[in-house]
Amino acid sequence: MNNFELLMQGFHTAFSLINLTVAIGGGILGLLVGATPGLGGVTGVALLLPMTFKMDPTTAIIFLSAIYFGNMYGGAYSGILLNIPGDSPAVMTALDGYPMSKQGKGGKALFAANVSSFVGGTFGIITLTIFGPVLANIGLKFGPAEITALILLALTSIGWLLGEEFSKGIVAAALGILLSTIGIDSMAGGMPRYTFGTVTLMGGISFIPLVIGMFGMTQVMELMKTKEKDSLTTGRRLSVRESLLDKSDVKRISLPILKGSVLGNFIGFLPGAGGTAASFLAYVFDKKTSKHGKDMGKGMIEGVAVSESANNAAAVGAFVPLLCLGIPGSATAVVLFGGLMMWGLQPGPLLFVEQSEFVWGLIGSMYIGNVACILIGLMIIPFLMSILKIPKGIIAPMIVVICIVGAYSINNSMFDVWFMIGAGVIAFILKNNNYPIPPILLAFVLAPMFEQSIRRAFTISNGSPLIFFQKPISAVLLGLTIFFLLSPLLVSVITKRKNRICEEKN
Amino acid sequence: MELVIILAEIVLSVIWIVLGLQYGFWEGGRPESGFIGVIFGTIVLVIALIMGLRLLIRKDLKISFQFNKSSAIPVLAAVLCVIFIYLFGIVAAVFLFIALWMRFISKYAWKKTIIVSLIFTLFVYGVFRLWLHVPFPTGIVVELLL
Amino acid sequence: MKRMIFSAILVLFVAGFGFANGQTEEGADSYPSKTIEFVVPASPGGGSDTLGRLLTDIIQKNDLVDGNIVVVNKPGGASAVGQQYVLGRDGNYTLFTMNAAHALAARANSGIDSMKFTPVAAVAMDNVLFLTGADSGYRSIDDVVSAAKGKPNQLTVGVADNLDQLCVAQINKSAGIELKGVYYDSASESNAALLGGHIDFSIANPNECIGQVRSGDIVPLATFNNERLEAPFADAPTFQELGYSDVEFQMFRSVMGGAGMSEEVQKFWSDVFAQVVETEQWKTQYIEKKMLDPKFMPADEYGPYHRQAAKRLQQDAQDIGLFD
Repeated sequence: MNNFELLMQGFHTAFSLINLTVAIGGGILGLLVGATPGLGGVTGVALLLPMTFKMDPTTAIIFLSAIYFGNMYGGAYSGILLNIPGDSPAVMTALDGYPMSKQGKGGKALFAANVSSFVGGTFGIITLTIFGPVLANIGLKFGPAEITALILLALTSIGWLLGEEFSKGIVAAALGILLSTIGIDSMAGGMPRYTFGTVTLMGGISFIPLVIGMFGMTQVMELMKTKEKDSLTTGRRLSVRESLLDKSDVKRISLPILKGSVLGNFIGFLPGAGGTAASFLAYVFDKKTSKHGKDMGKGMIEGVAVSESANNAAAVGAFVPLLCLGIPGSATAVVLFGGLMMWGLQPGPLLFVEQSEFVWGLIGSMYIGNVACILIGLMIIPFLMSILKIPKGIIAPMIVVICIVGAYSINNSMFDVWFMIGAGVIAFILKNNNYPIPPILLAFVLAPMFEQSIRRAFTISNGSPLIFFQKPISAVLLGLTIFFLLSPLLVSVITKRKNRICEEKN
Repeated sequence: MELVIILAEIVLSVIWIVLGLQYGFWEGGRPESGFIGVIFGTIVLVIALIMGLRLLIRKDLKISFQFNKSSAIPVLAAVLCVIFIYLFGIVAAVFLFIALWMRFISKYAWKKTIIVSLIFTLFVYGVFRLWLHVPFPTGIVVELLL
Repeated sequence: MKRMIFSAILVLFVAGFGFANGQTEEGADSYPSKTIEFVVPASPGGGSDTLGRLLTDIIQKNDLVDGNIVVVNKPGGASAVGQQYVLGRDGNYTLFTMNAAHALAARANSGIDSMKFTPVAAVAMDNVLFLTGADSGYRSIDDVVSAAKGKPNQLTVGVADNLDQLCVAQINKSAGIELKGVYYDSASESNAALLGGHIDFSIANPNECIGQVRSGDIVPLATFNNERLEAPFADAPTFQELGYSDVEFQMFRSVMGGAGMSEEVQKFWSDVFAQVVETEQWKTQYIEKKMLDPKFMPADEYGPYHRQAAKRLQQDAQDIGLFD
């Protein structure tokens, strides 16, 4: 039996009234959890897992994959509407999504986010269906040296992303990296670093309070600065019709979606990478390789499209090493798989052979979950848009409350709440002095992966940097990094020379 | 303000470099705990010094940062809300917080204030406590009452 | 008038939600008289979390305790953050999960006097395996030792925590070789590195590698337990069989009580967990699924065991210079 027939059989298992109901229910729950700051992704799925204990296996898988997809979709919503990203990949979505909301194009941004999520996710599922095992093995080729080179490429590109002043962008990114070093160093016998003698800091800084403070709190502070008593969108009337994408929008977003899907999906295969690295690299890639690049970050629909499609493609990509090799590619996938294992399933290379009915049922239910989510996602746009119409005097305290409760719930800790408020104040001051905030958060997310892989690589090579150049993949990636670092210099040299030639001619 | 930020960056990066060197930079052919901290601390230090020097030379110490009083409202309010949480627990604090803000900062009528706060509080309680089982703390006052 | 209505609503509110938060009236003689907190000093989804939630679930489903139990995740600092939190709670109403790795996190926990906690019961033992990739060329521990003899600090072992690092140190000491530990975040990550050929060996619990072992992609070379395990690990000899008599390790998973838990309460919980490990749900969903040793130790046995195990782990760690 070929893959296609197996998939059809999977659909056959999946289609029933109860399963479809559950898919829609799971999608709604997932969307809500994903959109709630502080509960996105891992925590959300972990908390909802017990609900599946009483279901039969197929129903439970469909429920879980609908939740999983719902999460991916939902993370973008609060980022677009309130500038509080629901999870870390949504930081990139908020970059363009929130400015769009302010320009009164929030509905379009939501619509584009849904469509891109759907296409990215579907792309991921199709590659999983066709090429799964082959791709998983390519992912394995990425060892410490290759991952180091990949993250280095990402980190150096943070510099050019955003911000008028190059040096401030670099400082912001470096500060994010410094923050990430706080806490216990798991690679050296558990040495506490930069904790200044406190136990609270030993666990390190959690991303969620940081992002809620730096985006959400500063958001309210900015909001109070303006005089008007209006809603977030400064009073523009919003209609559902406006949120529909017209022909030119579709044309604008189709190439970014393709880029995001392919790149995001690939990064999802890599062990230990994940949605954030995927949406970030795809965004930078699109910014560098397209005409609209220079306007990205100011409310371009392309930015929303590329980051959401990459994020969802990566989320499905993470299933490839999981199903084909038994190696989870993301934290959420781990929790989800924990749930799937309740039915005696053993992750590993034999899964496709021994439990093919189950695996194809899962893949089938991914298609169903994804379709359920886009339907729900599109239907709730009007409700979401009504949030934008709430007057400032009511929405401002509500955002503050969501910031506080969200920061509290991630670790059930009041320290995180204080930290969130402090991060908000600092980010507000930095922002008003032209320091870009997103690089801090992105560097913070990527830095631990960078530190661990560079230290692993040097441990393996006994301190010899040759390891990075002997391996073809990392050599190419490092070459690209150096090229991108030097390219602004080269460009300026070339333009100067051109100018000189022109002057001489004159 | 620019200068204050730069000074803070210098202090921070020096702390990271000094502690990082204590944690170990490179030992026995492999990077140690302080490796990343020292490298990126140095990057911050160097750039901060250059930016600082440029500022001093240009003498354009113009104060670009205008502090707007209303920007402080959310921060003070958030601090107040946290104090409420310690006193009354999260649920009551949320209600009080929204109600006070709507009444005294946004100047809505009492009726609307209470209805909106009540609905929103129930929403928060429903989503976080009942559905997601986040253990909400009860405040000191509540514990005394019971 | 408005103000009065307002205060009335407020009072109702405070009282209503205070009650809803699970506070019951004091004064009843029987234990427990208020909500019990089960602290998981790790994030949702991990091994400690699974254990904490499963234990709570079984207790509630079988009505083993007449009261409400809530699971509270306090991740961070290799359990230090969670333990610090427990110290600040009512010892009689707080339980938390413990395992050998957490007991070893001495340096992180240096600010916490772990002897203040009350040992309640050990619920299971986990085994540890020494693995290699199918195409690595190593077929036995002898192959490993003879290959490593010639080149100290060349061969690499993926380790996920300090316990694994201790296991590597045991082999090194016993066989007179120098294998090099490379830290990974989890055993599944180090298994991925093993499959990709980036490292030579890896250390994992049975449930972390069973899929790849059954498919033949990963080969178990030996087990740290002193008895052979069941299939598909039955071919892997114990280190003791191979003549490395001082290479031996098993990891305990247990439940501890807060500081100052009274002896009656300690006994109460020890009895509760003795009932838990007899349930079908526990056997199928935990022991079988995770391929654990179903060894239960009540409080009076686990107390001395815990103290001794913790001490030995610290000593071993110091001996190999883990905390330098």
